[in-house]
Amino acid sequence: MKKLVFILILTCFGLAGFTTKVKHEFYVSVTDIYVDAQKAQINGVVKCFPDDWERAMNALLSHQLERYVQLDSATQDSLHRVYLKKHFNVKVGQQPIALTFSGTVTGPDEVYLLFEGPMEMPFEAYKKDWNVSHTLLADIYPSQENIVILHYSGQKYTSSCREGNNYEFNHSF
Amino acid sequence: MFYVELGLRHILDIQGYDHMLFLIALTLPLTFKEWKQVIWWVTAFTLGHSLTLGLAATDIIVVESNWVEFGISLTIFLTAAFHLMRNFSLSKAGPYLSLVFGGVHGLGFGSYYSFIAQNDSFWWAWLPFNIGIELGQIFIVVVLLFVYSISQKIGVQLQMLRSLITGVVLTLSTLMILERIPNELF
Repeated sequence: MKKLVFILILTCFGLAGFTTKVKHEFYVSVTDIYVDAQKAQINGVVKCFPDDWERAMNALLSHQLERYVQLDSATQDSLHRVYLKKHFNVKVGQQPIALTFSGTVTGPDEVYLLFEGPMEMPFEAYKKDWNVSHTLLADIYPSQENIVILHYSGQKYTSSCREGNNYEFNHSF
Repeated sequence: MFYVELGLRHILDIQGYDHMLFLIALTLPLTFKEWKQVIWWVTAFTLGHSLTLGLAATDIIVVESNWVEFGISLTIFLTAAFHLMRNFSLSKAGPYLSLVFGGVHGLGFGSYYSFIAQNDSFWWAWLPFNIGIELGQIFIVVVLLFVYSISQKIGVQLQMLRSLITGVVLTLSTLMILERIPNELF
């Protein structure tokens, strides 16, 4: 019994130096991509947390004295455009979709980044060979996971881009 | 299938090891011989967890995250202390303890789940997400029981091993409690 108590005391002292800061923080974004046959357009929205997004934008401005929140909305949007173009790429049948940033909507707990691109192939061609590469915020948070929901002709497919799959996935409907 | 995998990764995330610590505390009195109890206890945890996760994600229950985190660390401490006081004997209260405390842990996932499931069908994703969590929990518990079983076979006294693990769990949960005491209490 004395031995047991001794071991317990030793263990407790050992653990006292161990951090208990459990980082159950989740770095996540959700992106919807729609194939809109009526508008002959690929469009969608990226949703992320405002504080994560602000941190990414401030990182872009690191060589300047300005902070993201001090910028006017047009300048903020141009930053969004640059960032999204660099971190979000979609191909269908090896052909890149020329997605362009089309606006921002800011909610109390979310930032929505809207995007759109031309549908340059027949609607049926978008049924297969999707390749989505999405490294949004992964430059800031290595554990970032970007969930992507593809919508095509009433069908839906959900997957994610994360470190485990090199922030990329392929899918055919 | 995506949400099953997400739930699985969620529970096995080593950065959020407080849920694992709770499972370690919960299964202290169990061995493979009590496999029926193992299933009951883990399923009760998942039921409590799934219920409050859904309620928190739909804002039916709103609890500040600092209180939830504090509550989670308390459940770990209380579960380990409960088993220690009973000298690791099986208790009929086990599944109820698991159900209620599982409810506290479920509150911790509410905001995350509501964010990810807004765009998808909320309840359609809820079931597979929780199935993933259940599978992850069963995996952790099976590994634990396997360690107990191996330890017994190589001559380690189970009671001593349990005491040692309880010491570790109580120490870590005490530190967590101290770190997470909500400012409102002062």
